[in-house]
Amino acid sequence: MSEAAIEEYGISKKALRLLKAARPLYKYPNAVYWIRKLLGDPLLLKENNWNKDYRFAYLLTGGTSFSPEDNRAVGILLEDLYQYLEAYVNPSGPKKPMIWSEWNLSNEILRAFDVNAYIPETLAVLGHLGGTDAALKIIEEAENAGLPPEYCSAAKCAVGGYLLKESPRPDAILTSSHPCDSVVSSYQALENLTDAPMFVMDTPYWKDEDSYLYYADQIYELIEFLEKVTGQKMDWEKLRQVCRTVNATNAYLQEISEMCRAVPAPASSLHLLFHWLGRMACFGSPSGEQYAKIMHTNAKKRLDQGKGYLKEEKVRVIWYDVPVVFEILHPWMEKEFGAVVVADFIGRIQQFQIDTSTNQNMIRDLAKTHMSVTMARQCHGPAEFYTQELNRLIEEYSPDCFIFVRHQGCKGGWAAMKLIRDQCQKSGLPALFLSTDIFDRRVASSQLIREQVANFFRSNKLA
Amino acid sequence: MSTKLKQIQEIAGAVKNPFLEKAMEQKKPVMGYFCNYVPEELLHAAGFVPYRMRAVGSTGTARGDTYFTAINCSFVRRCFDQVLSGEYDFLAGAIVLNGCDHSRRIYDNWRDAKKSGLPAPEHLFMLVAPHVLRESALERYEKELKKLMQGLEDAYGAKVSSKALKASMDIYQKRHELVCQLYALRSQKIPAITGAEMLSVLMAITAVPVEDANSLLEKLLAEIEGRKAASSDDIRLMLVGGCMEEPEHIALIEENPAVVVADSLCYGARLLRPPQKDEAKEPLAALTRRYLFHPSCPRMINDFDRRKEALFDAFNESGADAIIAEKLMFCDLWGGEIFLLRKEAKERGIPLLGLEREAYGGGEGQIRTRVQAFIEQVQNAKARKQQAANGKEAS
Ligand code: SF4
Ligand code: SF4
Repeated sequence: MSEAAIEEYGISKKALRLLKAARPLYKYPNAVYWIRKLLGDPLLLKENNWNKDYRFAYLLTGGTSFSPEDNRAVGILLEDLYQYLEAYVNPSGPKKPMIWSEWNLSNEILRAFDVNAYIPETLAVLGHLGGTDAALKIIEEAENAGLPPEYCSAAKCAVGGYLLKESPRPDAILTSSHPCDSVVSSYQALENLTDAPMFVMDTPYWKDEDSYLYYADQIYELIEFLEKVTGQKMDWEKLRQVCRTVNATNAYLQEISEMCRAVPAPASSLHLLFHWLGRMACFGSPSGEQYAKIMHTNAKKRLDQGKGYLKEEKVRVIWYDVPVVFEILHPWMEKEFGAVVVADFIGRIQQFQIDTSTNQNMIRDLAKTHMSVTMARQCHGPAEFYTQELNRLIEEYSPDCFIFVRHQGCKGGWAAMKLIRDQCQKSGLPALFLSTDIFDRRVASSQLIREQVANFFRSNKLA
Repeated sequence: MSTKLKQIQEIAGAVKNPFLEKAMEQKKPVMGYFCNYVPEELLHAAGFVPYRMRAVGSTGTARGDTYFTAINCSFVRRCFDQVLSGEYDFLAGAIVLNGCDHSRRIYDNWRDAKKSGLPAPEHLFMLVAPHVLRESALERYEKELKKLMQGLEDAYGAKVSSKALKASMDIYQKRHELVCQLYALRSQKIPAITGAEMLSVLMAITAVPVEDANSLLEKLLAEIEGRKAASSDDIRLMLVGGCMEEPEHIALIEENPAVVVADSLCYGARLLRPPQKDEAKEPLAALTRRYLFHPSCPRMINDFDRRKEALFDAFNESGADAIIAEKLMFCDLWGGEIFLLRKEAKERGIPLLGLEREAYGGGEGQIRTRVQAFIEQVQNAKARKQQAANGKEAS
């Protein structure tokens, strides 16, 4: 694409406009609930020219399944996402250093500096707010520039976004060696293209005290690096506050995850998935905590009343893989089949609490939490990190079936396919391996994906 | 053909070879390992014959594919296929490294296969090498090596003393020097050895006891001194990539008026681990530094600039005209590296051809055509440059 043809932040601006329009509405969560009800799923579950610009937002925020109370929480997180986009699309006030941070890193440390954080891969998700074809445009830009087609589509979005001028210029980049080769490789490309200094967390393979200490030592190195590139001193008190917020947020989300063991499940993994998007962009924010608290209260209320998130829960799904972001299936599965995802790979939280009593303890525990975030927790290290968690879910969540996404990026997952299949077989439950991708709709159309899921439910007499 | 080269090619063309068998007859245990970040010296000092795992002789992926999938690297699938076929039943143990997402799973899958009674050695180890180059990583790597040493001691009673390690490092240093001499013969105006032959040599010396490797290298050097393995008109190529273990593939490239005079391959320049200026006296610390700071591959995240400088230095020193950069399908690491190298080569005005293929995978027709077209293009550009230079001289 020629330089002149590229509008800076074209896709982000579209996403921003959508969020801007939605913000005032969410002050009235009841009204949002009724508008959704009236517009109805039939119009929005299927893509057409009329709805393609906001259908993704509708599905990600639960379709008609989210209650008015849930909508109140959604509104809070949307505000966070709005601020995140606004900070780089329409910056105001004194200029702050722009630090890029890879999507599987936690950003507590960055919040303890006076900087703007930007997560290159968020474009793969937020890009969908700019219309269902927007992310594809970014992916294709990366491929046309010569990026390997086998990269994770998130990595292509990170690089393609920069080439398409969708990303702000970085003053520094933070990345890690987890969770996969796509990250390892794409950040070398980003460093080279942007010419920004980069710090890499070398994630240990094992999870033992020695490994946590190694990681913790690197957090100190990271702080030194950030102090150097920003010319600022890290604010330890601010970090402490952020860690407390993270602790509270994680505690709520973890409990939601655990509550889903109940039959019927009082929440859906979509509540957690939506927070994953929020935490990626605005990790450790007070709004994230508020969101988690409200969702937790709502789920707890349903649990205490013996009510499920769905009126009639018929199928309990373990979605132990990346979601299909370009076609969030949850609202459709809920409506068509009474199927609720009770545990998933990305949204589900399994975290440590950070001891904030001393700086040293805080850093030590931050190391543990970083190594336990989604994807890093399961994909980095031996296959047992993946299979043991899956085993626990099988034992505790009373599932009826599994859904996996054969996302081509996750080569480490593919390479452990036999071990995963064996585990499914041992459980005696049916498993669907969806042939699609996390962000790239070219791999399988929405219709094809739905057909696969529908056939799976029907042929296994689940629905 | 030189008799030594013929012998070397035979060694490179099979999983087992007479040197290895002789060592086994003498009850020397053979330790298989993956990747250049596993220090051979350490295994040697512990009394093993280090053996670099390969897929040579592979006839398919059927068994390998019971564990891996079509979206995984064909080298890994083929090698694991050989493993499950019992081709590696002579190993006393094997060490897997966290090289990439495909190869690291060999450790998981092999353990599982072992539980199911499929061919596997008694002990499997996982060595974890850092993905970054910096002093703190050096410390970590040394710790991991100590853990491996402890594992070897626990499993086999194989203790490594500093003295033994130093002695092993000296023997490998000799191999290093001999290989460097070979590289010098290869990059001279008329190379004494082709790219395909060189690959056979490097495969052979990582499949036999190092003492035999050194003697093979010495004899080979003596034999090929003054040999003319190519023509002075040939296009001089640098070959870049990861896993490549098929000399016939390089021979296919060299069927053209072209010869490979330099490389950056796993079985290539990345086998060279020169002593580092600031290395410690203590052998293990020195060895760790050599291995961490040796010419890296794209699994090392913060080293592209150094890697690229080393690559273009080698390119210039060898007088190469062009680069062929190769990757196997589904390899993210080399895919990203080629993306960057293409950009850097373009900035330097160096022609670069990117090739993608499957290990032992056929597709010769297409590769042949692409390489041929590329060589012609480089020839034409070179001729134009020469003409322009002659014109300048005449005026
Ligand atoms: S989705 Fe898979 S391929 Fe993409 S970053 Fe995560 S682990 Fe890597
Ligand atoms: S070629 Fe690439 S994918 Fe295959 S083993 Fe080597 S680094 Fe891994």
